[in-house]
Amino acid sequence: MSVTVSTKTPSEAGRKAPRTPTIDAAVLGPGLALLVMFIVYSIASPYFLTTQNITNVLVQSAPLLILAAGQTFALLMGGLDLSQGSIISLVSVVTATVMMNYGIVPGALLGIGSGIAVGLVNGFLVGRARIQPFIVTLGMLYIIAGLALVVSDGSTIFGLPRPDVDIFFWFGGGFVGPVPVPILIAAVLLGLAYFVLARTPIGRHIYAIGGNEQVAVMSGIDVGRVKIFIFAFSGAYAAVAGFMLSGRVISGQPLLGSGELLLQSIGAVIIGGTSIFGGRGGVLRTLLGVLVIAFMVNGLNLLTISTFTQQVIVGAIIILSAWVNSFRRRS
Amino acid sequence: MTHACGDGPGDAVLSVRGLRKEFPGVIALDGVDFDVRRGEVHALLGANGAGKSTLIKIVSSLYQPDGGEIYLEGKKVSFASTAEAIRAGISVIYQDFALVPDLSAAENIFLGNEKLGKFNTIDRAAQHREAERLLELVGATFPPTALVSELGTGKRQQLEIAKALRGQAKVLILDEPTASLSHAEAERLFEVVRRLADEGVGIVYVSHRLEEIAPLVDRVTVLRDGVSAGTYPADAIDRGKIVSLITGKAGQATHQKRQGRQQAGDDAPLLEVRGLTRVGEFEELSFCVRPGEVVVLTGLVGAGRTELLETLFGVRPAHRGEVRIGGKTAAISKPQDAISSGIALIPEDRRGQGVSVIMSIGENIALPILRRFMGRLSLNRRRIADHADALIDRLAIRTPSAGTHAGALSGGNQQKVVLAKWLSTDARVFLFDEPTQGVDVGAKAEIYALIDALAAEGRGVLMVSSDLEEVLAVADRTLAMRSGRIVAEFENADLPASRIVDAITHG
Ligand SMILES: Nc1ncnc2c1ncn2[C@@H]1O[C@H](COP(=O)(O)OP(=O)(O)OP(=O)(O)O)[C@@H](O)[C@H]1O
Ligand SMILES: [Mg+2]
Repeated sequence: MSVTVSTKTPSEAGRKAPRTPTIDAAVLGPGLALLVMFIVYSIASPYFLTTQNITNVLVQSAPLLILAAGQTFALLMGGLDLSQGSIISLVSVVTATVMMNYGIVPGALLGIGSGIAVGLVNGFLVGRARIQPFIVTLGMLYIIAGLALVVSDGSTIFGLPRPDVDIFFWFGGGFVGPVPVPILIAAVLLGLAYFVLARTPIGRHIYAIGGNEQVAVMSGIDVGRVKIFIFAFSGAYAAVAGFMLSGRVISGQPLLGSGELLLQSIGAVIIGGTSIFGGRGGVLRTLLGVLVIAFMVNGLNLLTISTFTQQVIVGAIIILSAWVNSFRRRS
Repeated sequence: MTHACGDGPGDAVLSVRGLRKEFPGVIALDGVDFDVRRGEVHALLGANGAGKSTLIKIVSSLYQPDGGEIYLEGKKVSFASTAEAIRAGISVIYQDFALVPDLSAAENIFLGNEKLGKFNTIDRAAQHREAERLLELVGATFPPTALVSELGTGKRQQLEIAKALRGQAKVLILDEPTASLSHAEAERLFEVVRRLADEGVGIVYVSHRLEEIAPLVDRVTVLRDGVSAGTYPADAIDRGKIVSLITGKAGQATHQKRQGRQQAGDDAPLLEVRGLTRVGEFEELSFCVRPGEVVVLTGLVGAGRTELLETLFGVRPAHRGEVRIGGKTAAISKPQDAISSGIALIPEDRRGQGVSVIMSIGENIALPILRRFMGRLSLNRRRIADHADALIDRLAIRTPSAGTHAGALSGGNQQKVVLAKWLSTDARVFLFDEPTQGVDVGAKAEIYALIDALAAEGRGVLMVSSDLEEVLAVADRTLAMRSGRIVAEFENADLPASRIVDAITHG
């Protein structure tokens, strides 16, 4: 275009300031918490800073990391996925049931597929029927938890056939060289989530919707489609986490995801500093949040502090991190 | 009128001395002195980003200053909260509206300052009565029970003013109050402002519409780049001088209207609308826009113009009628359809629909065309940034960098970001909804130049404007709308403004 527009003379005030390289201030809070924890724990317990302990913690937290990475997508659009825990249970029993009769490959495909299907249903209800994510996934939490019990008739599915069960266990507790498989899978999925959010149009569209949905609509973004993608993604990640957890216990358990995993996944995203109103945050922050929770719990265990007290502390950290974030925003 | 500017607070109801405010990367205010006397209307002028809104936000204690003092009636004050400032008598109408959409007009007026009855419950009846009085005072036609979400921009503005008038205001500050008002509504507002001034209220009036200065204002202060460029009695300063104070350049930034279209009539229409209807909003609209033509829709607020643009852009569905783009029928039911048929909309509600304030400027600009920046696998962030930098330069957007979040920009500069965003698309038809609302004189001329350039390239422009000066400056053809119908058409704008005013008010 041949438009000539006068450029204003650079002036006294309002001039460009020299740009100093900055680190994302949001990671300071959880980063600092992690550092302090490492120092205190390694002084208090000689076992804390051993390779074995660190590896253990990372293996243990791999499913949570995968879950929380998916959850980050939902929070970034200003939503929430409450059905993740139930998806874990469903995937667990579907995988085991199918595996019992047809082996590991159909079991894995149908199991993980069932989780993605739940995510797609969530997505359609949010994106096309335009129901609030909170309501949709709360309803789904019940429906899918019930379905998992129906499929398994309420009992744990043991006695999976060999050799399939060994492969199954490999996903939850095997090694590739010296590296535990769960850590490997979690790292790959985290990298993928990061890539999608930071480097693809649909990822940036998620931020746009979380920032201001109306602006996104007016920019020609198919908001409904993006929402379907978000919940399918979150469902898929929950499904992989469910598969991995089931492999570790080599069984199908209808209550596998009914514990505190879901709340931890939301908590980790918040501790990491992703805004619950959407538009700000990312999976690298979530990684920090997961590490804070995982090492906090591990250290407290080593110090033989009861799980009751641990709950109090984790809750306090969630609130504290939100508080620290609000300081940052005000300054 | 005495020239007591610069020494002590004196007879001023509000004065600030040496006010400083820094944001990351920008010095918004750099030692500003400013006085408002009892009973005067004092205009605060300056280019986009000069620091007007920042000054106001400090006075109302929304921001804390980095230096300087504030005096209210001679006493040094420092408020801990906006509520305290309001109680002390400083009422502000912000540029970005601060209303709660899901509450009624009356509830908004008394928000945070509710009228209490027995047992400290809200006295709804009393609030209703008082709200009715205030709304009438500002010339509003909607009832106190109306929900804010149902009100258009103009009506929200009236409600804001009513809200500011509720307490015992000693100082009333209006940040661009007429930006979204029609001519008649603005006149109405001037009456209210004058009356309040006569009652002894000190009024600070921020505006980019220079034609409002002479009839309304007693004194003028111009800010330039965070520094005061001086205070002058309004009758001692002419428009040319004001413009050069604002822009810092000698001479006047006026728009030379480009030569009108030469071969009007022989090109096939680019945009053709036939019998377009949305029941209750507009009826049976038929018109066309030819390549290289700038058609302006004017009319009163509430005439259905914004609704028409939003329908053309697919934000609202049409009930009846046909839209043809480049001779082909376009089925437009959502914005994506409109964009792929080559339509762009620069919306009126900038912060609600135009820019995402928490996203960076660069991302805002690239949003509709992100796919264009795909590399082999992923988005090429370097190219997004370069693209943004080029448009920031071209439109002279004042920002430290493309990575700054759009919410940190002044109102006028946010508008330029919206323009930048749509200029990057390949749209053939541009719909502009009040594009120069809140834009300074210099930038206005730049936007007109851009519109002309779009037309010169053979694109079609359909623009909604309530600003008569603007209508006369850019239109090839003017359509006057009233209550959802086109009531008059003027072939070119070399005609007396009074005829347009006549058409839109009486039809
Ligand atoms: N919250 C903020 N964070 C960072 N920078 C800001 C913030 N608010 C204002 N600024 C910057 O301070 C400068 C002054 O802005 P201000 O809003 O006061 O301008 P203005 O004179 O009101 O302009 P306009 O006429 O466009 O409304 C601008 O450069 C703006 O980008
Ligand atoms: Mg402003």
